[in-house]
Amino acid sequence: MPDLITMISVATIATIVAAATPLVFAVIGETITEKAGVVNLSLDGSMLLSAMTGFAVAYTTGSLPLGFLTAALVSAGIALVVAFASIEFRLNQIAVGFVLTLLAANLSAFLGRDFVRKPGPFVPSMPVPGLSDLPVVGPILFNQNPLVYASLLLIAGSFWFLFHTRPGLDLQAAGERPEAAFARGIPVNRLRYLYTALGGALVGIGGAAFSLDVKAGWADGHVANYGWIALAIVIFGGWHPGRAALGCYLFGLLQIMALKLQPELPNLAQVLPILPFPMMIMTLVIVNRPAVKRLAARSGVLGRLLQGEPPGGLGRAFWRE
Amino acid sequence: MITRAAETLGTLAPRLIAVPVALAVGLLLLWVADAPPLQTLRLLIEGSLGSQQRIGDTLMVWAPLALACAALVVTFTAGLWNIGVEGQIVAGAIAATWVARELSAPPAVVMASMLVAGTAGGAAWAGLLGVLNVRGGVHEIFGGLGLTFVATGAVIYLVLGPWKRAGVASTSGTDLFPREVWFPTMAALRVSPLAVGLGVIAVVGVFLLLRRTRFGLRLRATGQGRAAAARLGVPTERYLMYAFLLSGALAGIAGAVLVGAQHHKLVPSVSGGYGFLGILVVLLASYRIHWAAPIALFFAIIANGSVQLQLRLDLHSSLGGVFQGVLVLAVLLAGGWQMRRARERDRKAAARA
Amino acid sequence: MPVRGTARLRVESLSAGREVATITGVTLEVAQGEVVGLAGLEGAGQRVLLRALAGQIPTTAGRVTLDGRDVTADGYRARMAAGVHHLPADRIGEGLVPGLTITEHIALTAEQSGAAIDWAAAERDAAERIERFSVRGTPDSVPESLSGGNQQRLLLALMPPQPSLVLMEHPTRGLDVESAAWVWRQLLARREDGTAFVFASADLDELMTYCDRILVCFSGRIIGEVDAATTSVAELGLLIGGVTA
Repeated sequence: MPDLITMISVATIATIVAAATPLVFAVIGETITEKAGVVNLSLDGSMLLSAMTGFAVAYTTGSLPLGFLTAALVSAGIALVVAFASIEFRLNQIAVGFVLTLLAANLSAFLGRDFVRKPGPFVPSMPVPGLSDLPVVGPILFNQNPLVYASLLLIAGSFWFLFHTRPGLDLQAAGERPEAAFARGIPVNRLRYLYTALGGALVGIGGAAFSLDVKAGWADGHVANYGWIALAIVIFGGWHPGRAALGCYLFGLLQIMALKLQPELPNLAQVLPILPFPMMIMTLVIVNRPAVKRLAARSGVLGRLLQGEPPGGLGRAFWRE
Repeated sequence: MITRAAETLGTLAPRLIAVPVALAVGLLLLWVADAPPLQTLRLLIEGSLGSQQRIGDTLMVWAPLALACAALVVTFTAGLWNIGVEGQIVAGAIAATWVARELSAPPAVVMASMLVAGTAGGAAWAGLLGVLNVRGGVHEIFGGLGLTFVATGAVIYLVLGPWKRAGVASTSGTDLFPREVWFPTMAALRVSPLAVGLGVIAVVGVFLLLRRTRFGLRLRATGQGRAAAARLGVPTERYLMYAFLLSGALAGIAGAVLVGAQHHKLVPSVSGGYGFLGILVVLLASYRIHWAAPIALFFAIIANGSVQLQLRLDLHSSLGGVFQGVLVLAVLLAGGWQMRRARERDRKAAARA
Repeated sequence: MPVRGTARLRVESLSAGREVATITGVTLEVAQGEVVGLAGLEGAGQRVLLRALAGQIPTTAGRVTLDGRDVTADGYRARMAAGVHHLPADRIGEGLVPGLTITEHIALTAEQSGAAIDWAAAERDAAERIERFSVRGTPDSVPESLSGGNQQRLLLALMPPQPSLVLMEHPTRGLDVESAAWVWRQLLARREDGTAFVFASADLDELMTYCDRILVCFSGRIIGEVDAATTSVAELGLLIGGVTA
């Protein structure tokens, strides 16, 4: 086995942060959506389709921002179908999301066939002057591309927004106890539309971050399964942006380890990317133990770390009779 | 009886709007791809039903799909979203492959054992999900998804590791099974009567089980109102476990059929998305097995025909998947729209009264 | 007159429940054919007590005997087999299964043998019970299409013929006066066979009218027992508020 210490060098950590960036967007996006009470199960297909459209638009127009914008719009549109079907028709969010994920995945393959394995534009590296020369932190956080900086801001920003602002608390109220929130004058369904679309847009940016940055290009099923992984990490993260981001970096670490172990232990390397799933299941089992639930109910750092309850109104349509 | 038939027709009619919608989207896609619609349709039908050979191939897609649908109807009836069916198919395939590789016995015994092992493998994988769900409080969607990926990881590990082909480890799969344990086929066709027969038995069996037996009624009660069913004396936790086990067993048979009658070896993509496609079919069939069986045939025709479109018109084979997805989405939305109109009618009627 | 005799239910220092919803040290005895009411504010423990007696909430301390047999360790289904019947307040959520027809409810609760269901017999049985319990519906009706009163009639129709103990939560809540009186006539008729009743209600008049005795619950304990015949509604109201004489 290669020396673990050299594997986890500063350069490796910087690679992990970069590799995990698309997932950070998707996971924070879905966390916001679910916090508002909507499960958008279409993530896997959404990311594929937005990766494809983002790349196709950037490739055709030569404009990266336009590529990201299109990807965000496509994915937000898919997410809005889930919200619409749930809010207006009271359809099962899981069912609609599931159909959409397969549909979007197939669409990405069908519409993207002209863009397969084309060399296209990608997000350029952009060290932050001054800060990138800092020891350790510099190369990890400040010698990256703008997408990575945006993802870091997103983690901090979404945490602050969700837990420390009025609109963030309203968002949580709409997801936790929609009836009570509505009684307090919070427009539950309007917020659900808004944050489902916003979360979807972030998922789309995550998808495009694959095709325009990490994987630099498009191919069929190129980013397949990342959406499912993102959904698993949302749960692993206990619907908390910080913990969710940690989950993304943990997954990034697994990926990099798989890459480094490839020459020596090819079997193990193939199986490592599977690990988030058993980890998610174990997390769910642990946080659902009554004893752990009691611990989590106490406030404080430990409680917040163990908190694993989904938002109370998650997946449930809300209407007033 | 007549009123009930009329009611069924009445609730069905608005959903049929979805069919032209899906067709229109299909045409739009053909226009985007610059393909002639009529020729496309002809090739699609020829590709799936054009010869005995092709009908046989279509039936071989139908068999595992029908088994997956039967499996899914059981869990949906109990109110469970068994997305893990995909992994249960894989588990069944692994178990059947293990028997095919390790057991030396007369071919008939090996094949029967492959089916038994597949059944057991699928049921065990679903049983694990059941324990996680019923005892561990893990939502079956996420538990099932996780176990599906674990099963897929296990296949990759086996194909590249312990069960790798003599000399080379390749993702193209294990060595082929000995020819005498391939499920027998009809004359020159690639269709295995055993596989198709198992599909038919599963569909009819699940239909009778849910309609005619106390077990089926209790399963429905558990699915439609767990608390009330428990109060009326149904041991609901036990019935949830039964649902997982039975569903997994049927999925496991599908896995055994896939390796025994189709691939004749274990390949990384052994399940081929049959579990996920089955969910689409069952959603389209409103969770009824007697509608799911013909819809599965329709989907098999589209899937097989799409392969021809790729060969002959250079249309990507995902077109079939797009059409299936649009159709199911349109039907779901049309159903939701119709329910909404019914609610509004009721509200107005109540306001007048 | 109803049979009044040996103790049907005996409860000694029973504690049950978790976190805030608990009862502590409840002792009571109910005779055959007796009707005992539970009065109290919402959340004072009546619901927990009824569910602990039904075996739906595990007992943490104490003893429950039914017809002299210790059933403390028995779960809901075992107590059901012993003749305990529970009628929950939430008729659709907990009482009846939405989407299942009346015939299917009959088949679900009927004591038939064998794996297959005789649907013809179940439908005949359903039609007969619909008639006998004056349910406004057909064998094909689903419970969510019935009015509250008809749902309650259906629940009575599904009750086994001779339960030994019936536990009820708000048996006539939301029903019109006529339906409520009908429901009680049906229930009280069973006292002739020795069936005992324990029920919770927020309707003090209902308690005063139908009970032999009323037990008053306050924060998880029984703080008093009143004779329905000699107590006024005002006195009962004070007790419910925790004002003991």
